[in-house]
Amino acid sequence: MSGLFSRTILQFLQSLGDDPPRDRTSELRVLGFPGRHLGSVQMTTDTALGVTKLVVCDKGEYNSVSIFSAMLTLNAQVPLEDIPYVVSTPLTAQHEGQYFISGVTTRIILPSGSTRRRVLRCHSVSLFSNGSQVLVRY
Amino acid sequence: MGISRIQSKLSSSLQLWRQIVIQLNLISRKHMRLLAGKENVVRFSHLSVTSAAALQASWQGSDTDHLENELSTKSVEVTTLSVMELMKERNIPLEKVCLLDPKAMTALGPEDGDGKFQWFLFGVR
Repeated sequence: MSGLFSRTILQFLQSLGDDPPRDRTSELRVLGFPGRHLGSVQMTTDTALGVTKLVVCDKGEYNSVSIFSAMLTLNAQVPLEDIPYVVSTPLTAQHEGQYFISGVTTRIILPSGSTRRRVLRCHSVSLFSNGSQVLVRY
Repeated sequence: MGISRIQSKLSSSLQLWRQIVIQLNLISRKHMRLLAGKENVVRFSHLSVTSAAALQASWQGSDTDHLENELSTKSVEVTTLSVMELMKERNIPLEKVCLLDPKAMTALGPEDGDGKFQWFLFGVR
């Protein structure tokens, strides 16, 4: 199965620097692709990619209680409803109401305002080694 | 103060704003590549020539982050082709491409990773 996923491609039709942004999804929808949604959580495209990868690519057993370690050690495949969004932590308290996926990478990108974003770093862990908790923007 | 001076001031601040937007987008694109992991390919399509060059250069920039260095440049591709042109070029049929769409009827599930789709398509706003 891993061979199958190594061929999985995450494809973007994107607009680098379009301001105001264009809604590419509706442009693509009319072309007739089979579609899937990611639940009711509003998220940015990079988080959507992270969630998609968690759902379709990551393989193995997982334990929804310790999903973070599951993701790193067992490399679990995670059903959509079990994606661990973090709504509030000390680090994200000032961004109340925004969603984060926990435990994916070291880098958090926090949006403040509609177009401006702030980049923060937290603990020194990585996607590829076992480590402690980290956050990704909503 | 002539009109041309106002114009040039306006155009330079617009240019600065555009630069900021592009920089922020680059951060977000890098983040995408990171999230995809090294076993997947992230392909940015339908870029303008300028954007493609900027994005390409950003992968090859002096990156001291060991995390990003773990990802080979093979894991990312940048193209000016549209997704339809790319699918045609790579012989990927429409039904093998899953559009992530908030308005879709079906939720994404683990079974969608079991060979049903070859590509996952995101329309970036």
